[in-house]
Amino acid sequence: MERKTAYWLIAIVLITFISRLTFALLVPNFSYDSYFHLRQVEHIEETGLPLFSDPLSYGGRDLTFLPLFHYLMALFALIIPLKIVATILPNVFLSLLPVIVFLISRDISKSEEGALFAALLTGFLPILFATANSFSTETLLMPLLFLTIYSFLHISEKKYLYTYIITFLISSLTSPVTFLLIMGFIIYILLSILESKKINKAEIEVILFSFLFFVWIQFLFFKRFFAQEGLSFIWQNVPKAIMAQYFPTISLPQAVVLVSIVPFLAGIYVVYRALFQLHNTRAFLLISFVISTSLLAWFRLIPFQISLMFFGVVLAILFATFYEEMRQYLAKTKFVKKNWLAFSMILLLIPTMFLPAALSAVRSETTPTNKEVLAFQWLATHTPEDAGVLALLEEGHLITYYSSRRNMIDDQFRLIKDVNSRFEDVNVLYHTTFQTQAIGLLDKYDVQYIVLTSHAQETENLEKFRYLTKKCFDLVYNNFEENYDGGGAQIYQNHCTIRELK
Amino acid sequence: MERPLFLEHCLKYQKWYLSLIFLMVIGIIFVGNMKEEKPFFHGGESYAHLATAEKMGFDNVEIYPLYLITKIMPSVYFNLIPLVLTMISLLLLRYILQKRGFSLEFIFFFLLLLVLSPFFIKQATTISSATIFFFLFTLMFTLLMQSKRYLRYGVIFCTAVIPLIDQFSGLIVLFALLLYCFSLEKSERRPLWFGLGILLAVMVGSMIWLNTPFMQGPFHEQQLARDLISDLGGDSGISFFVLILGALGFILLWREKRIVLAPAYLSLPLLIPSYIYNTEAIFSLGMILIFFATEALIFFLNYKWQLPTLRQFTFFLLLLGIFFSSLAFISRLSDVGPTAQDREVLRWANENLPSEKIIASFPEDADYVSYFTKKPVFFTFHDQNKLREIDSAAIFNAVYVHQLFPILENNGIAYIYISENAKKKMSSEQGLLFLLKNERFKLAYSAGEAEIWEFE
Repeated sequence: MERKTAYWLIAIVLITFISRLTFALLVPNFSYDSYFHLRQVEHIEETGLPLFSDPLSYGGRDLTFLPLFHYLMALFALIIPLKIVATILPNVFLSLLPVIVFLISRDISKSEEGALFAALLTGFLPILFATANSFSTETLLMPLLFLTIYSFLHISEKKYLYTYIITFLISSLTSPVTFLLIMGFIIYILLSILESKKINKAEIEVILFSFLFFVWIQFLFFKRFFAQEGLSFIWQNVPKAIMAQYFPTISLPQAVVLVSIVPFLAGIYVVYRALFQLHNTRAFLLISFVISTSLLAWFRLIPFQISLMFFGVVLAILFATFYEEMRQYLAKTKFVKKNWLAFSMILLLIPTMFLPAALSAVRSETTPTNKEVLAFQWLATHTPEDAGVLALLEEGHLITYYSSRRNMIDDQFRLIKDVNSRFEDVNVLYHTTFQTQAIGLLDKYDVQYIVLTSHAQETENLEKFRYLTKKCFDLVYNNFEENYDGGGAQIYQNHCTIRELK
Repeated sequence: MERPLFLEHCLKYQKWYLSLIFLMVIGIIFVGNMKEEKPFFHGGESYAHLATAEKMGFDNVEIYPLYLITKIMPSVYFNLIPLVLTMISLLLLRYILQKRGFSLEFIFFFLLLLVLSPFFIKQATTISSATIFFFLFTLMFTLLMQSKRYLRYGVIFCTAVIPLIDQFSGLIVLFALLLYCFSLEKSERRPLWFGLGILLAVMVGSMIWLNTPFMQGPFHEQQLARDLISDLGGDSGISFFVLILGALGFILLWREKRIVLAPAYLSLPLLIPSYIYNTEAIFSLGMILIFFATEALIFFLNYKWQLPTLRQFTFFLLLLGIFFSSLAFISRLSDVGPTAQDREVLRWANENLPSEKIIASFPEDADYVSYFTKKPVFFTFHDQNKLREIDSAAIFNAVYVHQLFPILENNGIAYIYISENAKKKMSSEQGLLFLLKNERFKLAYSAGEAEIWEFE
């Protein structure tokens, strides 16, 4: 690598990191799902073990998840406060992704300039940038997956074989989404057979090993879940009513904005060239990942957001090839000056990429407000320890993390038997006008407190609960009125119960 | 490729290793049952056959050997029946494979995968049609491979009995004998023709006069994926790793022109539709999948790996995965009824309830309810009675008494039995458990979570 390129790469990494961190600090609190991971890390810090049996989630349940991310974070949290670890480390991981993308792109396009552009695109990919406040497994998984792909491209060298094995093991223990790789490998083999290309024996051996290892790890951790759910484990027990939210069908305009229009169009061009004109084996591998991601998202087998992240990064890598081909073509025409292409690319990227990235990072609906957090913290100190609390599905982890109280529902659906009826009951509790129905359900789930946040008001299109009466419900907390600056919450306590008269 | 020393040792003393593994697997199940005071047999099939044996008549002549055994053997030793039969069958199978010229390596891995497969473990601990079939099938081929002519004519006994189990078993034997026929010299085929003749005659006869079913069962609620892959929670099937190996073996061997592969490939068009029709066909399908899996395992073992480091890892993972699946299956067996509490309630029902009254229970519990109480049950899966199946589902899914009572009254159901497992699946706030609070129901007896309710 040229020294100049190295400086540019370092600059991209630093700019990415600083921008991500700035946005992370600008927006208060973490994304809703982060609180699940924070709680797990804290539990590991205290006991050395993840919380596989959670007394608060769903009023008490068994959990199954892959714990490597949490252990890694707990390790750092031993020397640095967890809040700082949770803010900085995920952003460090995702800021390092451009380096890996640079390496892969350089291999495929043989162009350092194109690879630098690919790295820049990755750093400011809107869908990735939106995770600036997210403390989740995906932030570690994405760099790991692409490091695994990079090692796979050099698998015949011993040091890369070991790197591959290690990164693949870590990925498999971090998230089941690693299945993306396996699926991509299978499609890669099929594409190669269709194109009558000779597949490297070492690659087949690695794919076989990866497949078996991945399956084994999943069976080891999710044994009970598989046995309980049978073949429907692949839909992760997500309630039918929110299936569309977790696995939405792909809307093209939305996808294009999230992965940015420039790499999207360039990606289509490169895929077409690689498949039908150049028959480039290395590009085949990446195209296989594009196909596998699309297929898995189409069949609703992986969450939409993750598939878009992966898709976006692969497109960014393919962009390097597009850039190099474009540069070579323009050089032949002698029509433009040397740096015209790079300059125009940057001009094109500002409105199509950097702005959407910034906007998606500061979107407020993915994180709770300070006032909402205060309300959940109030619950921890002003309610009995065994109290049950009702809040929205996404706010479930705020109850268990900040309030240390039982929630009625959260987004960890695995192993929950009555998840569909629970979800419906939560909906009923937010929208019913009948007090007896509401109290009956609160009795059923042993819930004494109900929380109405400004987020709930917005998403549920609800001013207040329609069944509240002074006789049964006391307003015990309200910070809506104090200097309304966006956000806030009300907490009601239920005194009534429904009983059969003797 | 050079084999690891440990593998060499295993191959050399494979008879001992395999027996040890088999006995360990059975031992774990046996000790687990003893600890929980559960009966040895899990699920319904053993009890269905034992209950039939008690009512032996001309229409179930195939059950005569079991009838005879139950008459002379104390019931505590019944669990030895499938164990002994399976052990003998394994030895016979090993003998057959040796005679057919399979390598030591193949025999070892084939039998190892077989012994660790959930469908085989289930069969070794159940009085089932598969147990009897496996024994007779291996006995038949052992006899056919004898040098003494009079022993070869022994095949007639097996071909006369197998079609009495079910038509499907008869078809498999027919298929196997026809294929075997081609590998014999013309002069050696005579006993086989006799066997085939008898087989066809008994098949037709049993179909006309005995109404022998196409396939026994089902004895549980059928689910194609779960019954095939034990890791998905099925009470039989094969490990997911064996399925993967089987699929790889199927692809790898496709282009090879070995005569031994023909039966495996040719049997699939018969076995796959049969499995879809009734998942009890898993025994035969599982055997073929294990055959392919063994071939794949040996292929990878002898294949020259470019990355030798991965070779060890991959084999280690495969074996670990297969062992893990088997252990997971064995540990799940403890959740399958009947439990000690179930047996206690059923013992009480046997002693205290009138013998003509009908008991309704979850269909998966019905066979052992019938066996332990000696009373008629409303519906079992193998009844194949569509109307009763609908009514049975309606009973256990009823939400209101006006849905439940007419079904109970019209069918003369006097008792409802709720097993411990059934209770775990039902909600106490709605459905049948909630309706049992009605004054027309009276709790007749309970032990732990198992209950029997009287309907007045």
